[in-house]
Amino acid sequence: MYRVLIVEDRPDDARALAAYLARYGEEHGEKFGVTHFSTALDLAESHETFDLIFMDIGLPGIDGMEAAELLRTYDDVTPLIFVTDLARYAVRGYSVDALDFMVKPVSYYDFALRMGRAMRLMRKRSKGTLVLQNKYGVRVVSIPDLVYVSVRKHDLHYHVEGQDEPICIRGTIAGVEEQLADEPFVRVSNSHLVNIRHIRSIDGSDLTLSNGTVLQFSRPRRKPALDKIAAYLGSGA
Amino acid sequence: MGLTVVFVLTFVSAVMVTSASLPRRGHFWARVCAGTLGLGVILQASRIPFHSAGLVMDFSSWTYYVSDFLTFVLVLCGMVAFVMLCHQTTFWSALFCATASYVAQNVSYTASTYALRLLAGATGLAALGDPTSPPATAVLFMVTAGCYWVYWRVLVTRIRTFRLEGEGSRHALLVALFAVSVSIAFDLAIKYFESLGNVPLAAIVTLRVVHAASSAFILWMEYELLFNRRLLVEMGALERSAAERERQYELSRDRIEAINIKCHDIKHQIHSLGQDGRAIDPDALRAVASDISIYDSDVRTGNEPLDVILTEKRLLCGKEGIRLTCIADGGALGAMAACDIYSFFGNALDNAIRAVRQVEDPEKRSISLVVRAAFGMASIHIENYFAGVVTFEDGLPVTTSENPSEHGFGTKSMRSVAEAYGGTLALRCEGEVFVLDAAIPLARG
Repeated sequence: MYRVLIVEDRPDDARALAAYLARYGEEHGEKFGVTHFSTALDLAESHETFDLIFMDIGLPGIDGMEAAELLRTYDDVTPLIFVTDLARYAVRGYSVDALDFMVKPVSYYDFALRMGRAMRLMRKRSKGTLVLQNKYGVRVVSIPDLVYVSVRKHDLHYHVEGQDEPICIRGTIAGVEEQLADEPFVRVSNSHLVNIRHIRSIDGSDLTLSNGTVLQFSRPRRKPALDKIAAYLGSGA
Repeated sequence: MGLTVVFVLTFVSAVMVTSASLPRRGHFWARVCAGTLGLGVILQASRIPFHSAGLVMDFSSWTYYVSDFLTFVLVLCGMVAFVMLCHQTTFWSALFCATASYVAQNVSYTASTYALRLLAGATGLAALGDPTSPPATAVLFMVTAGCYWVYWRVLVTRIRTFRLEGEGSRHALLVALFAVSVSIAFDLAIKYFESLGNVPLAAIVTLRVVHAASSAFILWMEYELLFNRRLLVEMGALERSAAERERQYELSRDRIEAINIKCHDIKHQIHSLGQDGRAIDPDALRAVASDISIYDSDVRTGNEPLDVILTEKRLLCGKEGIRLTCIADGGALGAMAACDIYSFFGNALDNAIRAVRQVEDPEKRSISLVVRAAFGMASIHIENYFAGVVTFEDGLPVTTSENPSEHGFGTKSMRSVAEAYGGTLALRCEGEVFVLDAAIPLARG
């Protein structure tokens, strides 16, 4: 079940949105637990976490955009969809990493289009950690901290953020790729698997990562890798 | 044997000069040595060294020429293989490098051997008469190096061979290949005339000069066809953006007119609402507000060309009852030129609008656009409902319109814009929704 929060000061609009959620849930076989706050203050004071937030921009007191900025100071993961009367303000939604927005009056299909995107994002929940075992013992690696994995012959090197020395275990890179299939990793060459979230810049076939490492796309893998990155970025993650 | 070494070195150095800017494979120098050995084997096995030393061959037999021609072609293939062995590149780039360096080698070979003969004739030094002697080798080396230096400065520094894969350039490359083959044949013919012995030196020199000139022309032609074509493409883009600007002016003019008419209507509505001191009907007010909302279409993303194209498309959508929502970080598109932004987003949104128009349920006429910067890339994501069936060919949707020449270039053009910036474009269907995902590396610095 997914926990959805609706922050909306007009009860009619909130009810309509909840009804859409129910209808969407029926059509796609999903269950949603809906919570409704009337002001952004309620959100700031609540300690609950949600899987998806619908935020009205035109709220009394702190408006939706400010509330989103506040939310993003402690939570940069929960997907956010704006609902608004005025399209012009939502254009800046990228600054709070908003997934999308809808203009009132919202039709069911407007809603369904955005909801589809949100669902794709929510379904891809990270496993969180990897357990690596080598002759020195067991290491638990947090997947968001894993920058890239490289291989030489049969030795895999896991490069983790903040650690100078990579963790070495025996294995194949294809095996790791399969293990991390649901995670944002992309194969850039025969011997390197990179965490998309740790890419800092791309210049031609050079790839610079968050820890300063520069890798190179191999010719045949460049386009499929870029396509995968494009799809990942486009999903709103 | 010594001649073979000289020959191999001239071919290899020509190739290395041409492909200097291509990405190198691992153990590069080991590969170069292996490739050089390979070329040496090919050359030794062929008759080129003997041939050029003027040793007597059976020139009257046409099979000799055919086999010699094939030998030269074999050397050309060997050079293509050499480039692909040592560099990470495509066959087409390698072919270009091989043909260009082959021609360069031919020109410099001609120049150096004739320079040697001139010098031998002028100074009367016996040593210079023998091409394998040290002083002769030195002269050959210097003239060859000089020619390669000129070749480097004039041609190679202007080429970024990485960008060779583009539409149309393959045909040009095949034409170049044909021209090189003709040049090889011409070279053989001149050697035949030389071997006849009773042809005046002046005639031979003239032919040689013509051959060198035509070789230089081939090089120039390869450069022009493959690289300077971009100028034409850019000029086309300039013309398109000029036409675009004209459209913008006309659009503004129409908008102002439309706004004037609307204001007039709204004035009437407000007037009739306030009549007879009636209480104002909230539904009627909402109708007025909704009428006005079409003008809430000015988009400000921080990127002017993007603002212009999005505003235009939103107005167009508003008129047709299509809902277009935009979240756009204009700063993410800093690397893109204005004309590319117009053409990319113009095409993308036109396609989405066209698709959505065909959806029966007016409630489903919805388009969502998100442009944002993340992890070193600008991500462009467009989603819309569509009707019917879409088939893909080579990753691009096949046009369903009756006029195939009109449509179908939009997505090709979008893909080439994305790839021109080192990015990518992917299109797919997810159920009833058509999804476009493009990613373009952010500008450096």
